[in-house]
Amino acid sequence: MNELWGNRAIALKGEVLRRRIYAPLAYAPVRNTAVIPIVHSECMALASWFPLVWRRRPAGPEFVAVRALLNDQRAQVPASRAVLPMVLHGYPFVFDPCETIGPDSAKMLDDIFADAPTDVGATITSVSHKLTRATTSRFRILDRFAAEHEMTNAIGAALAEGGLLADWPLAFDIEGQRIAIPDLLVIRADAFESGHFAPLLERFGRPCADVLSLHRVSLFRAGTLLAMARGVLRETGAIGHATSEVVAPEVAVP
Amino acid sequence: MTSVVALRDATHLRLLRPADMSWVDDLAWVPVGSTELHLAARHFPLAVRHDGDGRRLGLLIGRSFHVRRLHQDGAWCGGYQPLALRCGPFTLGGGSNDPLADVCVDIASRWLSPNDGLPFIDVDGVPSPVARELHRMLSLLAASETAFAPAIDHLLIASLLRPLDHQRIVEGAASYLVLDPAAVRRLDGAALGAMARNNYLAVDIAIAGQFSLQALHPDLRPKTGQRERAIQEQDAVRVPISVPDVMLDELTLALDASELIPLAAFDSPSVAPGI
Repeated sequence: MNELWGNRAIALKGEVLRRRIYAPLAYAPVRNTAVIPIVHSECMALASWFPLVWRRRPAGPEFVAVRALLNDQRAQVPASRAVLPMVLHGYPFVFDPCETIGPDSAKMLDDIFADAPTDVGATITSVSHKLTRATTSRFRILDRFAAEHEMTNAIGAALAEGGLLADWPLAFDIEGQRIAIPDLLVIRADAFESGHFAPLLERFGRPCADVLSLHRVSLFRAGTLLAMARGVLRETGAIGHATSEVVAPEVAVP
Repeated sequence: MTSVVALRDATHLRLLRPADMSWVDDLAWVPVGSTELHLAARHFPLAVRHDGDGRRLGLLIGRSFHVRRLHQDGAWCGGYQPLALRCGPFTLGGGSNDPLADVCVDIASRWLSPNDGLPFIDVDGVPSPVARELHRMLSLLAASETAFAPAIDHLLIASLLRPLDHQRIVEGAASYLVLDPAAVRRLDGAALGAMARNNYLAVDIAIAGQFSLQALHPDLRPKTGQRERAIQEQDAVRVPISVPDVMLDELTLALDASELIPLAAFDSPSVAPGI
């Protein structure tokens, strides 16, 4: 099973602060994780590339980008592999998975080995025990994400409370394998024909409009993801030469 | 000299879509259908055409507006092909539910062939699937025009449209309006809420229209003023997101929203996009 984004968060203290960190794409979770949380300001840049939908979570719907149907970079559209959602630019730092993401969220380190470094990397802290620029720049990105996450989540919660979300069963049988991303939600198509969104727009303003419209624009990417997943499974699974690199057909929720 | 007739008078001919689509290069703009609005916005800039017939929402299709959509041999390579292009030279007479009476075409059109292609009537004389599909698409475009009209009024009231600055590139096409990103950005919650009081269409067009400017030639995109730039920078996500200019990976399928369901259905019966 591939390591996924944010699955091995450890506290930033002691010896951990002496580790080296590398560019986000040096880490397998950044390259491979299919479903990544996003915030409202990313919609305009990401809607061209990924379906932007919600994922059902215990705390409420989470706004996410679906980069692929498999946790495998090969299942992503080649041209989109360099397009990273904001939170991945902060990697290997992640938020404490035990807390709700917010401006005061604790930052942690994903305890993952950089398997594809492209440079010598940088330490988390300098010899004088100060945070290095590589660390602070990532922290700034995570701070920005956390600040916008609050409103993004509130928009998702308001949509759910208004009964405006519907299940999006993204499940396919490809080359004899069941491919599914469970618990995804989209906005009910009929909701756009009514005045349901007026109160939400008054409350949340332009970010809400971006989320609603660009969510619709982005859904058309699902067909491309299906074609990519089919290609990967055909190449690796159907001919009976599955290697250890072939991912499990079910996309696990991190 | 043209001779436009109803399909009923052209049933001895067949539909033969020309592989060479260089005729597209002669078009500057085509109307957009409501079911394809979001998909088309990913490929073409949305623009309101202002002419003697009023204001209509559509897509800037001319090659001066964006990257070329045709191969050297005239074959389409632009990913999504809008409904209006798929309708080719066919037009809607209006006022009839019978495709053979309602769909019209110039009898001398290159899209008609006496021997090859698809027939307009079945063996029993009823409209063929091709004739029905042409009628469906043309009717959809006509209905969309009606539906878009009040939304365009909203955009005008809110001053969200601005003339396309394209005189130096496209001659004689001064009547296109595109979304003004700075004006859209200035919309507050009260204005957005008012626009969406009855339905979401006006806001949807505003946001999708702004998004679609990514497909517009960089030289033609509305310029951002210094003050706006400062606000934009303040609000911007300071993350280096690289988005390649050309979407190399597009499926060559011609789909609009109404056609997504059949596509999903033949892939897997469990798929229900719900869109």
